[in-house]
Order: sequence, then C-alpha cells, then structure tokens
Amino acid sequence: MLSEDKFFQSEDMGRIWQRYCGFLDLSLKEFMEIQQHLLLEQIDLVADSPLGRKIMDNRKPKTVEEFRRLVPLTTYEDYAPYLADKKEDALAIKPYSWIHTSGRGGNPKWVPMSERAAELGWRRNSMAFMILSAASRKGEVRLQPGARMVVHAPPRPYGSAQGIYDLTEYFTLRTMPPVSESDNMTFPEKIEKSFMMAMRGGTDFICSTSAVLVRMGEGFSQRSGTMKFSLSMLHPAVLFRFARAWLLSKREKRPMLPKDLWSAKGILCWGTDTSIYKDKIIHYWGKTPYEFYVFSEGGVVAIQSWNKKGMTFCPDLVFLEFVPEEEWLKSRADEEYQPSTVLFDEVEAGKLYELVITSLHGMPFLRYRIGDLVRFASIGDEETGITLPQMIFAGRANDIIDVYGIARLDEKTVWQAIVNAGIDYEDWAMRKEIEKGEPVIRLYIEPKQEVEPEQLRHRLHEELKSIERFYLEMTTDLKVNPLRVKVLPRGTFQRYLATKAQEKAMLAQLKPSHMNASDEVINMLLQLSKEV
Amino acid sequence: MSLYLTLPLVGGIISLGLTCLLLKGARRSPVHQTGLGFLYFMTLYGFALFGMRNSPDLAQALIWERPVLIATSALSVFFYHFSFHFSRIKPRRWVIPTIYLFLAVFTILTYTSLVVSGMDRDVYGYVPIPGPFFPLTVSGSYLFIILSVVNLVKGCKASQVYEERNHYLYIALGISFNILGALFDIVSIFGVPIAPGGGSIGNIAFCIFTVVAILRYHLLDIRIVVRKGTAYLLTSAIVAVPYVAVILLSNPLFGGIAPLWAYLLLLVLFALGLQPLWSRMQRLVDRWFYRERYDFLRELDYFTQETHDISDLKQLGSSLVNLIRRALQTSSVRLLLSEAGDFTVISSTGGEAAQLTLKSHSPLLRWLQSNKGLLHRQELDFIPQLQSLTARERNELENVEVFVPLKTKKDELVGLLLLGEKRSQQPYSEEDNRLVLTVASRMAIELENAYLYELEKDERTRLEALHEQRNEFIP
Repeated sequence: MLSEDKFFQSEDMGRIWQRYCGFLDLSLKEFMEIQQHLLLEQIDLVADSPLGRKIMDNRKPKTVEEFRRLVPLTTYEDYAPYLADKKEDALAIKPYSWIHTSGRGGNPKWVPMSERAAELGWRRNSMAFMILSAASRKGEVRLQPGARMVVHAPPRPYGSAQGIYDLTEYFTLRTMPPVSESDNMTFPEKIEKSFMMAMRGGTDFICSTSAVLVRMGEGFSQRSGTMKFSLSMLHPAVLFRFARAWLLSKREKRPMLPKDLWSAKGILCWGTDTSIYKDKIIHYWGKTPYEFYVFSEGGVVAIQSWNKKGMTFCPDLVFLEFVPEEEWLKSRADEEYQPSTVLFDEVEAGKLYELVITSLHGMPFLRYRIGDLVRFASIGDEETGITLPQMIFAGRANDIIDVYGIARLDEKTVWQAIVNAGIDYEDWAMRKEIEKGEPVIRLYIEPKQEVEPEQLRHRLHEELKSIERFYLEMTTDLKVNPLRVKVLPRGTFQRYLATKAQEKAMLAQLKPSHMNASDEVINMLLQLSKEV
Repeated sequence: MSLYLTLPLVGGIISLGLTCLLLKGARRSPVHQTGLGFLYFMTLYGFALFGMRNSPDLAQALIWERPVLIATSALSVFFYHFSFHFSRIKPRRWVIPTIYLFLAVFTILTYTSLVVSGMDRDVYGYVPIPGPFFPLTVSGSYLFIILSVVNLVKGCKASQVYEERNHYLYIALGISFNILGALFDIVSIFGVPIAPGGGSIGNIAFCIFTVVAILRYHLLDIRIVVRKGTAYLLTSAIVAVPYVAVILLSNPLFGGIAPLWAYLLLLVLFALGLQPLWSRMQRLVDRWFYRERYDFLRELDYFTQETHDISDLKQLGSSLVNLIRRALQTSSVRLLLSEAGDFTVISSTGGEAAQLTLKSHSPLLRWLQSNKGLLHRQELDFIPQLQSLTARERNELENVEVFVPLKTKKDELVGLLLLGEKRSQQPYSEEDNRLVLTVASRMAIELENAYLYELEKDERTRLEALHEQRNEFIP
C-alpha cells in the first residue's frame, strides 16, 4: 500500500483534513513562528554551501532581521552559473530531483528540488488542493485512493508534471492519460486521450488550463446534436454515459454540455484567466473552478479554501517577503535600487506587492524575486474562518503596462475587460507603443467574428474604465483614450503557433505573451496576418 | 408486567434514545449513516418484539413476529455495512449491493410461510414455528455479524492509534453480548427450556457499546476496566463467601436468625477489612496483568514519591530514565533539560544518541509548551505546526515514539522525556500514558530544582575561581 493511502486506511476524515488542510486554521502568529523557524534552519543549512556563501557574501545571519538586512534581493541570473549546469556540489544538500521551467530567451531555468520540499510542496499540497477542490464545507474529504483525474500537464521535467508523477508514487491516483505515457504526447493528444478514457470510467477530478475547459465547453455547445459517432463510442459504458447526458440535456432543453457527461468532484485550473472564465466553467462543467498558485522554485505555495475565493499561503514551503507597489515601481525605474520588503504579517488588504521568496528545506533560492505580483483581497476570510491574509494572483511583474504613470493594467484586468465586452476571440496581445510621440496601448486581437475595430475599441475602453478605477480617473482627468486596437485576420495566432512549433520552441514560447510582447513577436504576428 | 414482556420495550426505548443521540451529534459521515440504519432496526426490533409478546392471540403474534425477523436481518446487514466504514476497509464493488439484495429478498420471503409458518405457544409466551428457510436466514444474519467481526479485527490490527483500538474493543464487547443473548433466544425457539430474554439484554448492551464507539467519546481503557473489574470481583467473592458463612454459622447462636445489630456489626468489621484486602487483590491482579513490569512500576512509583538529593542532577536523571525504560519496557529513554532556551540531553538509556539539541525556536518545543499532555510520534504528520519540522529535525527524532513534556506548576516547560518504541512494538496504552504523565508532573519540579542547583553550583565555582585569581594578584 502506498504511503499516503495508509492515512486514508487508518485515519478518519477529521484527521485526514488536519493532515493536508490543517494549516488553514493557523493563526498569523503561528504562521510567522513557522516561517521564522524554517528560515533560521535554512540559513544554517545553506550558509556553508558554495552557492549560499556567494549569495550571502560569506556571512551567516543569526536572525530574520539580520538576514533581510544583509542579503540582497536576487534573480535567477545570480544562480544561473551554478544551476544551469546542475552543479550539485554547489548546493547545501543533494537534490532529490531537478525540474525545469520556462526561462527567458528560450533557455530553461533548472531548479533543484530537495526531498522534503518535494514532499510538502508537491505531494502534500497536491493532496490538499484535490481535497479542497471537492469540498463544500470545512472537514469534508471526498478524495479516496484510486481517484481518477484528467490531467493536462506539460511533459517532465516541468515542475507540474514531475509533481504529479511523484504524487502517483505515494498515492493511488489514476491519471488520464497515465503519467507513464503522457511525456511523449502532444497537448492535443493528451486532451483527446484523457477525455476518451473519462468517457468510459468517468473522472473524479479535472486538472487543466481554464482556457482548454472553456474551449471544450464551447465545442460541445456548437456540436451538440450533430455528434459524430466513432467505434470507440460503442462501448456500453460510453453509450450509457451518452444516453444519460442526452436525457439530462433534453430535460433542461439545452445542448449537451460536459457537465452532463462528467460530474467531477473538483475542477482544478491554472492560468491567470481562471477567475475571468469562472462563470463559463461553472456553466459548462457544473463546478466552480479551483485555483492554486504554483511555481517551480517552490511548488504549490498557495491554495484556495473550500469556498474557492482568495488563496492562502502555506507556511512551510518558502519564506515570504513582499515588495510594496511603490518600492517595486522605484526598482523598475532604477535597476540598482534595492527595494524594501514587508513580511506576511505586515501586508495590507487591497495592496499590490511583488513576491520575494527564500526557499526552505535546503533549496537554493535566497530573497529571490520570483517575478509575480500578488494582491491581498483581505486579511482573513470571515466566511471560512481563516485568519490568514487572502491572496489573489495579479500577474507577472513584467506584465504590467503603465499608462501615463496613473493607471497600471495587468493581464487579468485587460482579459476581464475583453470578456466583459463580449468579444469572442481566438487570442490577443497588448503592449505599450509610441504613436506620434504620445504613449498608447495597442491591443492586437483576432476576433472570431467580423468586428469593427473602432466599435471594439470603444467597448473595450468603456470596460476598462469600469474595471480599473485609475484608468477611469486617467481618461476623465486627462481626457484621453490611449487605447488602440489592431484587428488581426482569422488564423493569425494559429499560424504563429504552427511556426513556433516548427521551430521547436519551448512550451512557454509557443504563444505570444499577452502583455508587453517583444518587437520580434509583434512583427511576426503582423507579418503572418498579411499572409493569411 | 413481567420482565419477559418489558425487556424488549426497554430495549426499544433505549435504542430510540441512542438513535436520537446519534442524530443530534451526527456528522454526515458514512459511519454515522450506517450506524443510524443499524439503530433504526434495533429500535424496530425492540418495539416489534414487545408487540409480539403482548399479542392477545397467535394470529396477532405472527403479524408482529415478521417485523421482528426483518429487523433482525436488517440490523445485521447495516452493521456489516457499518463495519466497512468504521474499519475503513473498501469492500469489493459487488458486496454492498449484494447484502442489500439479500435483505430485500428476505423481507419478501418473511411474508410467506417459507421463513415462519405460524406461531405456537410455549410456557412463557409465543414462539415462531420455523419454516424451511428459517435456519438459512438466521444463519445469514449471524454470518453478517461474523463478517463484521472480521472487518473490525482487520481495522483494529491496521490502527496504530491506541484509543482507536480501544473503540474496536468496545464494539467487540458489544457483539459478544449480542451473540450470547441471541443464542439464548435461538435455543429457546428450538425447544430448550430457557426463557428468551437474553437477546433483548444482549441487544441493549450491543447498542450502547456501538454508539459509544461511534461517537468516539474519550473512553476508559478497556484493559483498565477489566483489570479493576477483576480486582473488585475477586474482593467481592472473598468478602461475600465468609460473610454469608459467618451469618449462617452464627444463626444457631442467636436461636434462629441473627438480630439486625449482629448483621450490622459484621458488616462494619468486613468493611474495615475490605480496604487492605482490596489493595492486596489489586496488587495480585496487577501482577497477573503486568508480569515482569510489575516490580519496576512499583519502584518507579516509590521513586517519584520520594524526595531526592538534588545535588546530583546526572544521578537523578540517570535513575529516572532507567526506571522508566524498565517500567514501560521501552527501547530507549532520553531526558532533555533546558539550557539557555535550547533543550539538550542530560541522561539517556537504550543506546540512543545523546547529542540531540532542540533549539528554542523549534516548533516541537513551542507546541509542547502551549499544549497539554504528551505527544505521540504520528502527530508529527498531522499537526500543521509540527509538519514544518525540517528533514534534519525529523531524522534526529526518528526513533522517538512519545514526547513527554516536563512542566512546572506554572506551566513552564523545563524538560522533555523522549520515549522510544516499546520493546513489544505495541503502541503505548492509555495506562502507560497516564503513568508517564504522572511521573513527569512529579519529576518536573525536582529536576528543575536540581538543575537550578547545578547552575548555582557552577556559578559559585566560577566566582570562587575568580576570587582566588584575584587574591593571587592582589597581595
């Protein structure tokens, strides 16, 4: 029996909940005590390693305050000479595994993972988010060994794939497609295979990007009633599933939707667009999507609770520091500037921060700028009784577009405005440009229907004003509309993807980034738009 | 109304009360739901049996007998289903539908003459006339109870938590009562001259024990109950036999029956002699139960009650860890005391590394400081504060099974006892826990005093040395 299965065999629901989700009950004081303890242990552990000595400049801080005062903020470039070549002798402990994540310029960022960090950051917290995604109240555990999960993850050694692979060695989880096969599959193959498998045996969990789930839902709506039959559908279980779904949809007098075919206990989504697509996912899949915050350098570091609202940081994965927005802006303007940070018990509700982490359990990153911006929705959540600050992912630090120094648009805000404007699109990219000496923000968008650019610009401008208070103030005060829209013909983004795939680009480079895409990317899009 | 008539009614009322109790505290867990199903049918069984026994004629009795039989099967089916949830054993997919199918078929058959062909009158009341399927259905119900026992035994074996094992033993005791009682009822049906009533009593005990286990109250250690019970039983027997004998022998002296004052006088004399006798009996029973541990337990008890010479901390610590190790039959014991906030080992036995230091910011120390009672190793995987122990800390504490805080009356953590695995590889019992907590509370003050004395002594030595040095230089 696998080690995590044993807990489900021998413990009751309350204990299982406590093991995986108990940290949600911690007080802020207890949270900070854990953070402090683990940071001091981490300093002890890494101080004598070559990489630790380099980052800490041969000093060994004795307190948290001393550590924050003596050690400068770092970026991946500080570690790259050691990690890019996987120099294990430079590290404090021998890594349990190496995972990679997308870096700049097509070079992957290699990250060593210690055994304990993998255990907490990938295994325990993956169990936690599965339990919480399916829970509707505190203490409810609907996860059992043998659970079935549709997973659309990149191949190993990407962190998320490695995490799922590890998890299946400790907990009986039937992934679709099986982890042993998925490394050699393309993304569309994974989607097809997983849902074919789920047609037979059903699924308890679906773990995918929100965009994939929405696209699938849309596909169902459009195809419903004209479903093509294939030989694989002749299996009795598949036929029964179809028949039941058909009856359900007929009873409600609407097209067949994924929720008629599968009643998953939890829908786990990643991507900044999850909250934007929330209503659509509920409509198509019948469940509120569940979000978690994950990055390769730390693992699953924050998760939503059972009410699926703000996210709560875990206390024992990374030491948390936050650069306040004003300090972050100063450091953007002056690269030499060392911004000050605040600790987790000093953050304020409603404010934006850049996240700085120090990895724990022997992993190498010290005061590391992860490049993400987070906002704290509230300090605690009355509905669930959680007293810890509730975080919302705001976007990548380099994804912010500053407009006239007044409004700052992040990816989520723009995305929300596009959705609210009712624009049905294939994909989009936005960046700041200079037009006749004046700064403008230009949206490159490929709509699915014919649309008048000026009308689209007007709708989007109005939506941005209603979502972003500072954008409204800026347009009112300055009487300007900096928004420009470039409508790209159908197939532009598809061709971009195909071209990049031909070039064997890394997964993260297959699509243009939504915010602040480079000249090279925009030029390529414009070039391809002429060809289609 | 005779006991024969009222017992089922009492059983029904108690089952109903327990149902309400379970409903009130019910969480929506499968254990509670199947447990409730079991209690519903236990209630039906009690009331239907009362109806049958109070029937004016055979025809009326047959009408009531059928629900009695249905309830008997249903409660065993529900109990079997409950046993899967309680012991967290996953049944094969066909098992649960099959047993409920069995129940449905049996319910239909009960209303034919295949199970009960009619009712008959016996000396004490009505008995059913068994049909051809009667033995099959009765054995079916028993089979479910036996299979439930198998599940519960498996669950008990799988459990590493002592208290949980105790819950299993409570249910096992309830089942024993049920089987014993039901046997009385069954043999009476087949003509053996025993008044049927055992079944009702057995069911009442069964219900009570099961509900208590479901609600997971902090139960008395069943081994303590048995140990104390045996001592009381022996004492009662030893007192009752001579008391009755003396009364019987003295009756002729008083010319027939002894007067009331003679009874009372005898009672007082026996009462005075009872306490030492009971203590002797308890010691005798303890010897049976503890065997080789007995002498060490007594020694440990004396040790913790005596006042010690606090001038030798090492000696005191060494005696304590050795005695605890032998009394609890553990593989190792380490004693840690606070030194400038950090906790270091001052005495150890059993070959464990003596170089362990727990830093003042350790979550383990913080948790023990702010919580009462001792801590078992498996809690490190459950308590969120303790999950944050690093790999190094966890490795150092790998062989520790129980963490015993030594706290002063002001609730200050001054020391820590780390107990290794028991030599029998069994979990620590509630009695072990209680014993070690008692020892810890008594020793905390003494150890603190000894430690402070040691510090004082060191400080004095240091000052004396300084003083001597000064005298050397200052003529």
